[in-house]
Amino acid sequence: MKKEILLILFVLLQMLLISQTKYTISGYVTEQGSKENLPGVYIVVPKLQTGTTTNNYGFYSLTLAEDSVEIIISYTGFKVKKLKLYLNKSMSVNIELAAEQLQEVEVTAEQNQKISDDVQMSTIDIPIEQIKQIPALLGEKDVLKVIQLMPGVQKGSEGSSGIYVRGGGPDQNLIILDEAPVYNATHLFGFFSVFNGDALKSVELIKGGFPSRYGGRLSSVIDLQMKDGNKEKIHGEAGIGIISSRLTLEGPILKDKCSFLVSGRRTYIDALIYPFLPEKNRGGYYFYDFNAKLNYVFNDKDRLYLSGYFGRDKFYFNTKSNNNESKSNLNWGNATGTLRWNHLFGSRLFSNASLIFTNYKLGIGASEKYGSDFFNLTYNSTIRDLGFKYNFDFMPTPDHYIRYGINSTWHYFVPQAIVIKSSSPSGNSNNASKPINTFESGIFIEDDWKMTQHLRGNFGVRVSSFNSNGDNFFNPEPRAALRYLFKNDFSLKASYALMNQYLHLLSNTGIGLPTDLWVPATNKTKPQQSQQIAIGAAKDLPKQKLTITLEGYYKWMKNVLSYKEGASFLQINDNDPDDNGTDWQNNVTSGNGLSYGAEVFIQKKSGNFTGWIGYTLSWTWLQFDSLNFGKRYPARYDRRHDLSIVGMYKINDHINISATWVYGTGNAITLPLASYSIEQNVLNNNLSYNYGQIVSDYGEKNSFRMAAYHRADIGIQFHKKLKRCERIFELSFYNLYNRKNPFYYYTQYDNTQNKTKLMQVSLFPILPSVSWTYKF
Amino acid sequence: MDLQILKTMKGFVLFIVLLFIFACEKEANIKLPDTKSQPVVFCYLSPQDTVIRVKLTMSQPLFGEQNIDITDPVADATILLSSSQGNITLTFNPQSGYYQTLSANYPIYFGETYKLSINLSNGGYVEAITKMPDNTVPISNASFQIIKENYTEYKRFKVSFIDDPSTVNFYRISAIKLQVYSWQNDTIRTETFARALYTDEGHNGELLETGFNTYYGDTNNDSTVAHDVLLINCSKDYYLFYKSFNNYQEGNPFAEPSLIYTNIKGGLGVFAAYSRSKYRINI
Repeated sequence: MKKEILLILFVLLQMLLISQTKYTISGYVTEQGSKENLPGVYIVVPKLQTGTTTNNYGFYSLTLAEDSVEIIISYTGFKVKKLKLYLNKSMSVNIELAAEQLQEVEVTAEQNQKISDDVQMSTIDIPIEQIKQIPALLGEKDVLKVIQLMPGVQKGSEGSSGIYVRGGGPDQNLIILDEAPVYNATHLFGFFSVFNGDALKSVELIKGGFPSRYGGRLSSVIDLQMKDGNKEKIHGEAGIGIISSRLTLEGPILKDKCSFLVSGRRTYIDALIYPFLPEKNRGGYYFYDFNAKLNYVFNDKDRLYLSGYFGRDKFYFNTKSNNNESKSNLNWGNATGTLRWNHLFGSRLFSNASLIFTNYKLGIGASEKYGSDFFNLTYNSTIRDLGFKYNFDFMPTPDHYIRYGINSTWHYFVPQAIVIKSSSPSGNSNNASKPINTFESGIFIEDDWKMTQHLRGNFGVRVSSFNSNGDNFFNPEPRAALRYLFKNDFSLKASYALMNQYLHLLSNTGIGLPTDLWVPATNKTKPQQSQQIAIGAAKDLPKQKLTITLEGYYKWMKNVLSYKEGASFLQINDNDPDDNGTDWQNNVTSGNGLSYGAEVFIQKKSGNFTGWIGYTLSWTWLQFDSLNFGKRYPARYDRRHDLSIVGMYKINDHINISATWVYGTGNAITLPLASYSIEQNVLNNNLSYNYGQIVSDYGEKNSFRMAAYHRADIGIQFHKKLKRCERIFELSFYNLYNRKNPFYYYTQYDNTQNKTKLMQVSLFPILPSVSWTYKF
Repeated sequence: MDLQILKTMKGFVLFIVLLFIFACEKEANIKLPDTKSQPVVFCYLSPQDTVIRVKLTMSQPLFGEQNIDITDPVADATILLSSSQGNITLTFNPQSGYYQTLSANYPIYFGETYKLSINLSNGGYVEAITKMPDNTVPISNASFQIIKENYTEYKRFKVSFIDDPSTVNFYRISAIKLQVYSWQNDTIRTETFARALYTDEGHNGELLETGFNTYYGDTNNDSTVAHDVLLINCSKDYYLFYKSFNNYQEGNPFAEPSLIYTNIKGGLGVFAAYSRSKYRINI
């Protein structure tokens, strides 16, 4: 039925087009020197007060009446380009943009891209160049940590890459790398993200007003695109930092036709310290990741992209004594692969077919040998996706930009598998939760529609379905966004989005430990659903090169999942004889969430001085029937105030400095308040007599606030042109004024003073770091 | 098995701490919760008990001076138990450490709502209300099976009963092992301490079949003569308290702290009511 509606819509639009005598200019916008496709480039026709933007693959299409037209092409960080054409036939025009040099081109108001013009709200593009300038923990540049500096986005604990968007948990972010979802986006227990900035082309964050082309998560979309690889010459970048080294190579295989990119990163602390560890106790940790991409341009109509990511974390610890040997390790990692085919049907219909693979695996291994006795344990948890997407971009007139498509994903889960082998025959066991096969599908259509000069909207619907072991879910998801443009680059915006999430992440700690478990929605653990209303205002100040947005949001979430109190991922329930002991469904409970707040974002994207100020005022509540006795309580990451200030200044061609300052209200945690003695109702001898046990009173859940978090970082980069390459030396300081931010608290009894103290553990003091980067 | 994984996990935590050698500890410079010592009240009413009794102790705030013995009963309070059947004052018995009276002085009735009011000598006041279930729910059938595992054994009890259809019910099931040794006349009763809890949610009025496992090492020997399976039809407070108490554990860094239920206004503990039925399985 839906397919038929889509077909009719499609035919109607085609007919609409045929009835008019208009011509289409279409093509790709690329970067001069590398032929890298540029997404999100503004293409404006000032005379007609109309325009479009390039899609994720750098493609644009504009259909206009016969006339002589001037087209202005602009993109942050690039020189503005003007084209004059006489349009008397449809034509293919590929445009190259040159990166902006120091002497800036003055851009007039109507040429520049404007936030007030955009219908899409709650969306932030993060320039990769800025990610590379912002100082980072131990010099490891990190996309997710830059996203944490945006309003509406909060970090979890100190140093963590976990992302909490508008009250949603880290599992509610759809993180996609070249269309492939990444299930655990962090290395080293959440301290670093898996995304290597050298391999990335663009990063977009969507916090609300989701267009219907995205679905499957409640709170945000983080869409990362890998670079295609330089099509003209071999180019490389190598970096040496405190904890890792990285190398990126890109270049043409066939000039202008086929190019590649490979990028890798590995930490080396373990290799350096291994020889110095005693033979009896040796342990270490490392992670690496590897990105590769290959693309081939057949002709103007067909392009093929093959991209992949592979990353692993491994921690190991071995001990040895005379007749005893024990080894343990924990390893986890993602692998993704995407094969995409862009095809143009005529000049107004762009299509992309993707074949997507993603795999996340966690393993724990432990073995012990004592004389001739041995004990061997392996624990595994896996999620694997195989997906297909077929999306179309249809640009019939400058007033409509229609996207539609379908996608289907087969998810394969093995939440837990434990295998034990030992020298005692009774000790062997093979305890695996049954693999679960699920099938998730979506079909969507949306139209970005310029109704009048002032009014523009994006209306769409997504219909999603999920099948999990015979449990079927089917949900329509309406989406709408509206913008009204006033004079002086000022606009008001509103949006509504309903989202469904069919995968749950069971997390005990919220700090992104790899032991967090992905599980599918079932009839017992229903899909999560959110509804979000956002209203906002946007204002451009082109002279000052500033954009200002103010947004308020209200978001309901239902069927959010949490572990039951006292339950953990290893919980085994002994009381129920019908329980096989490892079914995660018995350890979880679902409830509701509510988040509301306001965000201010003032950004300067161009000029020698760039940066932003982001402020968020927010409330996040959770309510679970079986937690906190059904009373609502503040979420751990309920953060009343959150402020980020980021500044980057280019002093001259050789020196850049950058600084950030962040402030956030402390996390809400549950702290023991008092101890008391329990009297049980024992049922012996017809009289209840009582046995005591000492317990802690915690008051209400999350009723204690940790100390506020604040920190300043500063970095300075020295650029030097050498004979064959450019060298960048960077010196940065994390936590410049050595603020002791709390990582966690614990209580300690001090018997000299006969009192209990609250102790605070802080992770990072001031941490200097240096790195060298060579670009050739 | 779990222990082994936990061991590995502990290795990590240790590793994380080692990795961040920069990590530092200090006393938190933050306003601590200003918690006062609170009265802790425990009272379980049952028409089958011969004595009504209340335990009253005080809690020890974690922060601040440690001067309260949390197991020490408070002796100088005034405790009043009341219902539509009238009031009774419970008096403190220094031998037992409870405020008590004989059930004969104040019979406990099915379906009745009871209120416990406590005036402390320092002027403090706490109160709690509970409702006695409407009846006793008999056990239709019960049996057990001995499970041998890893050189040890335990029992798996199965119990069935017909749920009381008139109301929402909360149940707890437990068992008592009866042993008679040749050299003594008394029967030794050992409770399994099972705290298996159920509600009739979604199964109102149905024949419910459920069960629980006893602890590892619960073996029978020649002296074991019978098991008494107990079905406790309890108030919601009783159920919520035991549910939270069952979940309670401290010191697991991978689990959220579990809160213990209380229905004592102005204090801690629980005031609850229950009625029990017994089913004997002779061996």
